Amino acid sequence: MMRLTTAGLLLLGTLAVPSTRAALEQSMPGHMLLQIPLLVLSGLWLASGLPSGVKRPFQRANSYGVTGLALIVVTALFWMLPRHLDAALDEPAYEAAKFLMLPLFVGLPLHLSWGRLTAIGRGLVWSNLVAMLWVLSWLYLAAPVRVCNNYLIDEQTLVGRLLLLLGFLIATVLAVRPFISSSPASEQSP
Amino acid sequence: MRTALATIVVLFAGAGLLWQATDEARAFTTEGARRLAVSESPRPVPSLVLQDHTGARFSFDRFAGKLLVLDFIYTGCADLCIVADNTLQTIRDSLPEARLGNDVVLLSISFDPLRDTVHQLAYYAKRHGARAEHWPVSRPSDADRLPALLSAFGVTVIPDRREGFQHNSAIYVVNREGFLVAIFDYDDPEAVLSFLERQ
Repeated sequence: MMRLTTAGLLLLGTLAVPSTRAALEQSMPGHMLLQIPLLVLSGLWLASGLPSGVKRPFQRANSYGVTGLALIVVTALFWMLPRHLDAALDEPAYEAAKFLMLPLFVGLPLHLSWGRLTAIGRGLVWSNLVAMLWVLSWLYLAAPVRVCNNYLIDEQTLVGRLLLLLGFLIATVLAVRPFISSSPASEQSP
Repeated sequence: MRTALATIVVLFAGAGLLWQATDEARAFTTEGARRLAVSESPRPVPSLVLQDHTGARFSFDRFAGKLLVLDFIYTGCADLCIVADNTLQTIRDSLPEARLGNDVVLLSISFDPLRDTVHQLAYYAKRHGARAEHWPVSRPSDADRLPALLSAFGVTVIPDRREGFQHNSAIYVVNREGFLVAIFDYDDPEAVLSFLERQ
């Protein structure tokens, strides 16, 4: 567990290094599909090493993981808006906020909440994730204008295609898994 | 009970944040936010010397007392700028003759002053039938002033991989007092015309 926390810290540190930041933020797919998920992952890893004494007060107000899920949805909505991607590139305050909010308000509550969600809750999360990826994909492929002023339109199209593909992958895994897995309830905690 | 309370707090705080962050759910992109900001609080245009396609130099003050309809272009552009300039052309052709040049002036500004020489601008002006007295096709006289100009108008220009640029194209209206008051889609001359009619 401690090892995962160290890995989380290392990942966050690596992502914050100016040259890594520049490399990932240089393109829209790098920014949206690598940096942002990795920031979430670093928070997830960080949280897994927290002693239970620290987690307990949070968990008292987090039955069935509902509060954590609400926090994740709100934060994800905020960072899904194209203007905030632009803002993170143009204004250091937004960039700092991104590096704090994604690990702390998405990664950490994901760790705290996932194990507490019911099977229906998890199903809801997965299906909404797929739906959201496809809606975003459709938006990026169909938008007649660039949604981000800092990125080229070809990249926007590429991101649209990748989101579509990612949605298909997740949907396929979800659909196929019940037929291979020995017990459908044996879901891994992320 | 605690969970219900905490969830409600999170959702309310989140909704409030998103409401604020999208200018009350009116702007979801930087472009949308820029247009909204300009229409709610007009901003002054920086003073700057331009050089037009005849080689003449002038500053923005020349347009004081007139409505200025402008766009940003580069003459090597193969898509957006052409549409934007067709929009300017439509506006020019639809304006009452008494207004054109006297009350309303069109202006194209190149953001590629190094490659867009006066000669190049003249060729471009000819292609669009732009005449210097009511539609100077120009470039910043001093290339160093370009970033300040672009940032005042909220134009982001990034070089693409084919020697060209990608940029947020739009039609801008500067009022008689020299304030940027409205931004329109680059392919919607009707919206600009009806705005001008009300001025």
